[in-house]
Amino acid sequence: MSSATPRINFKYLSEFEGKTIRIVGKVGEKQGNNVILHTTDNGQVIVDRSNNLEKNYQTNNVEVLGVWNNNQLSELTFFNLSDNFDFDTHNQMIDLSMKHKEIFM
Amino acid sequence: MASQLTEGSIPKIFKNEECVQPILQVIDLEETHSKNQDEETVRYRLKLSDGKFYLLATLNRQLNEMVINEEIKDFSFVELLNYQKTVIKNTDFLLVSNLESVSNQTEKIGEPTQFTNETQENEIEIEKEEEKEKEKEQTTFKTQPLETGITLLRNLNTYNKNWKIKVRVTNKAEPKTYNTNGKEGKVMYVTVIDSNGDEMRATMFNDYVTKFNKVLQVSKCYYISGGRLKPSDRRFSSIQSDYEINFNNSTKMTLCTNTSDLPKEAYHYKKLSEIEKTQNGMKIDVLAIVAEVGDLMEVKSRTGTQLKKRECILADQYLRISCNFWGEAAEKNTFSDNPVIIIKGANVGEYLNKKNLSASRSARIILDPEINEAQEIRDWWYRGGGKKTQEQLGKTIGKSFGGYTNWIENDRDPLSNINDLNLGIGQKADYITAKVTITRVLRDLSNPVCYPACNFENCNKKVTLQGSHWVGEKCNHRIKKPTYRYNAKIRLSDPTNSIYATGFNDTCERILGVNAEEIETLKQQGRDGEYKAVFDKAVPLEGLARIRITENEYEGKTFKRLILSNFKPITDYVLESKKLIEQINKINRTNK
Repeated sequence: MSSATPRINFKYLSEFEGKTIRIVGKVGEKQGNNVILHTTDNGQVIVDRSNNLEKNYQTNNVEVLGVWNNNQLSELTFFNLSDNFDFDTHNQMIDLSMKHKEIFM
Repeated sequence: MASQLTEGSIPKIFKNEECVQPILQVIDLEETHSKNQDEETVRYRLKLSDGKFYLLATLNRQLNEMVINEEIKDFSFVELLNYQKTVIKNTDFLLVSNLESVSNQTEKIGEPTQFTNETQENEIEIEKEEEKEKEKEQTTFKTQPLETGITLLRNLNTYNKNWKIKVRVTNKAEPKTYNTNGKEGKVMYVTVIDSNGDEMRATMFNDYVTKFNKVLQVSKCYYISGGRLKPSDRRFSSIQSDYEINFNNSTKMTLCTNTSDLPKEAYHYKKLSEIEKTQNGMKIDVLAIVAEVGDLMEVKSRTGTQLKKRECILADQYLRISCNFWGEAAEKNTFSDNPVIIIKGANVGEYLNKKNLSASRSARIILDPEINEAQEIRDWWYRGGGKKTQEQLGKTIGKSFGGYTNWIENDRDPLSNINDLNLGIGQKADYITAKVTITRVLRDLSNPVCYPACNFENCNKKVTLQGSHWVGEKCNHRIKKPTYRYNAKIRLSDPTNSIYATGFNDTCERILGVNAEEIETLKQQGRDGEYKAVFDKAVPLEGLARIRITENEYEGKTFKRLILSNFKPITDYVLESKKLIEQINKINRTNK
């Protein structure tokens, strides 16, 4: 329908193998080139930042845009989000947009 | 099955009487198509029946899906939640904007006929006849011979000392000790009921407490004679009786076994709405559901004693009220599972301008009484009634609450509701709260944004220059220099519609960020660039709009007059998102 990158959450990752997606989360532990992202539905995603190392996350919450492959999200770019970002509302929004896919995807 | 339909609800709806979420049957559901400028609209017409009568109805387009999903079809039982009654070409119609499907049925209940003005007249005739019948019955009851020698409680007075009553004890309070003016004593109160259903309070003091406490048992019946009658003090009792009896040395009591004519209880409770009219300090009997229960707390009284307290919320179909239980009532009752409660002798109080209730040990608490009203309120609760508090009821049903300070918390209405629900046709203006984007503020020769206003004592009417003075056409005031005030046509858009509403001074100032004097100055001084910049900066602006809707007639045509009485730009995105999610979930719930 559109070329916009779909916004999803941890529970929906399996449906998007090999696809480019956006996911929001709290920045967690760093492990070399990888960062753990704690998603708004309490999941944990390993983000491979190898292709975007020059830029650093500026806030505690970010939206990462990347390719989901083999249980890893290869980051292409990211967006800084405020510390007031409401996780619960975001989670509900993702659930609703997945429920009404025909409108959003 | 037929008993599921709310009896008598169609006549109530027709007469605009209160009818809470009635369950009705759908009959003769049909699809209609109308073409409007290349757009075809599908609407569903139906009859809503209570088993005896029906009214014609149309479903608001947002409910169309329910028909498509077959949640509503012929013979379905539905719960009517929100509607507007209107008259189209002399026929009464219900415009249904919200309903919930209850169950799908396979046959029509009864042979309902259309309820019209004629039916109403016939109904009144039938009602009058039924009332006459009832009266006959009642008079025969009264003339039935009483058991010989028994006086009814209502006939007791201070003049006749030779009375004998036959009563059942409905309540016996714990004896209390008191100390007045150095004199110590004991007092005990009982409540009794006679065959006529009247209640009366009886007191006894000191030695008589001991004597009669042994004799009198709750729910047992007695013949009682002798005692002193005194006027009752409503501060200490909610019982509807002019007198109370004092049992003393002339009082005789005998246990009575022939008790079939004595009722077990007298329920004279009121609806929670009565509390508003009751003076603080008075007692009242109420029936409600315990909606919320607090924990048992200990508070220190003014005298230093520790008191047990439990804060609760009582609710009925129209109101919620806070009720505090004290002492034993607080300790003993956990009110689990939202029981129906009757409190006899609750105290009416007030805190921060809100009325409240308190129940101490003098109050009588009855949980889950087996009477019809208790069943009714329980049914309402189980159907989710508790989720819709009075404030929420006010939001969906009464759109005519102007000057409502918390308008921002209202449910958001789509702009299409203005036409779909035909708002503004009543005598009172309708109000809606809508989330909109301001897309334009008209500013041309025929629609100036502001006007010269009369500044004589807040008059604000339009003035025109006549010679050296400005004169008001309507107010006739003469002033030297006018004050400019806003009166602008503002275009509001949302996903369903675009409308123009008029904004007055305060609202426009908030939207444009400059006051009318400044705008007028820019315009008069020909500073077109700066003038245009004000509007370019202000628009588009997303926010919450409070819109006032009335209907006017002009040259034979009726049209809607819309006023933007308040506007608040969206700053709290989280709150708005939550509101949106709430509304979406609501739609999903009704469409399940």
